[in-house]
Amino acid sequence: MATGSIDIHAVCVRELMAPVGGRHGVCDAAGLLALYDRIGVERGVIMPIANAECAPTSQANEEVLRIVAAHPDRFTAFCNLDPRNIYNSPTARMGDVMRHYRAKGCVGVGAVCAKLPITDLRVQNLFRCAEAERMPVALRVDGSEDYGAGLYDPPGLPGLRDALERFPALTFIATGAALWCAISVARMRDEWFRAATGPVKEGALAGLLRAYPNLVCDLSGPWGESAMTRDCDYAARFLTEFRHRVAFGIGAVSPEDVARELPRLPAFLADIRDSGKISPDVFDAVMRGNAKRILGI
Amino acid sequence: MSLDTTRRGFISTGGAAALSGCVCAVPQPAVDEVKYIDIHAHCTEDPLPPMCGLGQPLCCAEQLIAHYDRLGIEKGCLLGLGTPENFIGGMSNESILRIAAAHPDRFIPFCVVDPRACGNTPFANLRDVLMHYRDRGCKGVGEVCAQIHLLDPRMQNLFRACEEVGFSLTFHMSPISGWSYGVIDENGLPELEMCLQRFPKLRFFGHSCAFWSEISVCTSIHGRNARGKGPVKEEGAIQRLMRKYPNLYGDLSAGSGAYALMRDPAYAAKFLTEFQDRIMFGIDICDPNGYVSPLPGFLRELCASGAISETVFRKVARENQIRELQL
Repeated sequence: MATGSIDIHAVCVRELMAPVGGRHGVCDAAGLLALYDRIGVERGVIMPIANAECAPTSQANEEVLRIVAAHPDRFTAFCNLDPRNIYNSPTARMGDVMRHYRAKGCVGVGAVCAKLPITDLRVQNLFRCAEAERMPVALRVDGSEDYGAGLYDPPGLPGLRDALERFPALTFIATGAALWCAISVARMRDEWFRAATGPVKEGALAGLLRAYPNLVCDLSGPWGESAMTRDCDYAARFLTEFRHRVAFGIGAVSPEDVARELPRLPAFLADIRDSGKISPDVFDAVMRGNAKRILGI
Repeated sequence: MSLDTTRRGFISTGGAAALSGCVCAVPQPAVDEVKYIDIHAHCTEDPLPPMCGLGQPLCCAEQLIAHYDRLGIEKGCLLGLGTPENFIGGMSNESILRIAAAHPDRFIPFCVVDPRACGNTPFANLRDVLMHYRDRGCKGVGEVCAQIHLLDPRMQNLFRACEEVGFSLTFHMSPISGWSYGVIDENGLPELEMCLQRFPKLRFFGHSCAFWSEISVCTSIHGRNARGKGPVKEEGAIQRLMRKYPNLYGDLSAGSGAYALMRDPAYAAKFLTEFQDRIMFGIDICDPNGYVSPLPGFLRELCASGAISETVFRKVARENQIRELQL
């Protein structure tokens, strides 16, 4: 496994949480490692579940540190803070907490999935603190103002653009339906809320990547996979142009899904490499090299 | 922890009941040996980082047990703190269950489910979630601290699920929207009253300054967000609601609960006597080296002075908790 891929967005728990509708939302560590072994993932970067909207219950940063301590050769930890943490204030002293977790080995903050506008002052405070602490922030950008999880940004991603401009020393590692929908011009309003499909006509995302070197795209979740597989030729051009700014990730997987089917993305990326649409260098950067460089792991 | 079964204890209370054939024929300790049950406890598996420039914000289990031994508390209900507004990071219900499993004679697990859980929708299937944790041994839901109005559809969805599952619900109330943490209601608790009406089988355990300030008439934001001071000159919303709705209970934990009584000891005795079946001792110790409520000593003094009866003291100290949580 010495040169396997790196999952920049892993989610796992010590014990399975409550099932909803008969399904558990997240694997335990053993289940995730079994998946990694099957698809050739060397290491996962675990992002704690800190936001109320994501799951039946949340997860302590300390729990993730325990998982990492038990599997130091397979996992790296992020810490996570909800923008509402520490008394729901836009002046909350989050830098102290980030420093604490950085000293314990956490290499970033996130994934921030609170159902708040990305322009909310508490979200901006979290970005400001992370920038000051030189810790990258992972975030899920979502198209719904009300439902689901993820920071809301309307079509065109004006809030993300403002944040990239306002915090130039902060590395944003972004995923989510709205982020990946912006790989193309959206044809329908509801594409903003889900994994969009169909041929790509270049959208806002490429413009943001060209304008702001502090944006990194995280391929995890159904949105990242769909953004690549919807238009194979555009995916190859996108990955080649932004070869240093896109990182492979899986995101949350349920134990039921792990038993049933594998994520399609690794096989898809290997296919476009093998067919010559992307070079081996691009493939290696996306699957492994970018995560190592950006996170210093 | 075993109950005291000395001759003195047996004769003082339980003996007579046993001889009369009462179903509560277990010998009871003397009143000065009664151990409290804490309706409102928090602790974590691992130390959390300092918050706001202060020290460790929450006890670990061993630190809380040391407090309990010093204060004469037999056991406590471990409430989760999974609400983002009052915490750092997150906290799983599984961690509460692990702590309780490691100290089964000292902790009773609760679960906390945020009203925004499972997708921030009023249609979230929280009933399944609560049933899962009930089946794993949790005895109630709390502490619900989300900065959301009580009448918000997501909050109503949580209440409906709790009622269906048969859980009680402990809430922390905030006096104002957009600041700090806690469920939101106006002065006089009009939203709480609607919830008490709508969910008659859901037992609401009220806690925090914004709740306990309503033991007296209180109209200012500052008053609603502070420990009560001065005599209770005019009864507030709590008494009105408790008389009207049998599903409202008082959780005496923290400074808010303690000072709701200590502000006016004479009135406290009257209040505890009237609502003796629905007031529960709690302490809510957070910082391992910080504030500890003076409530344990105060309640014992009220009993020793005869201001409240031994029966009332026993109910508030532990018997209400045992009955309501079926311990």
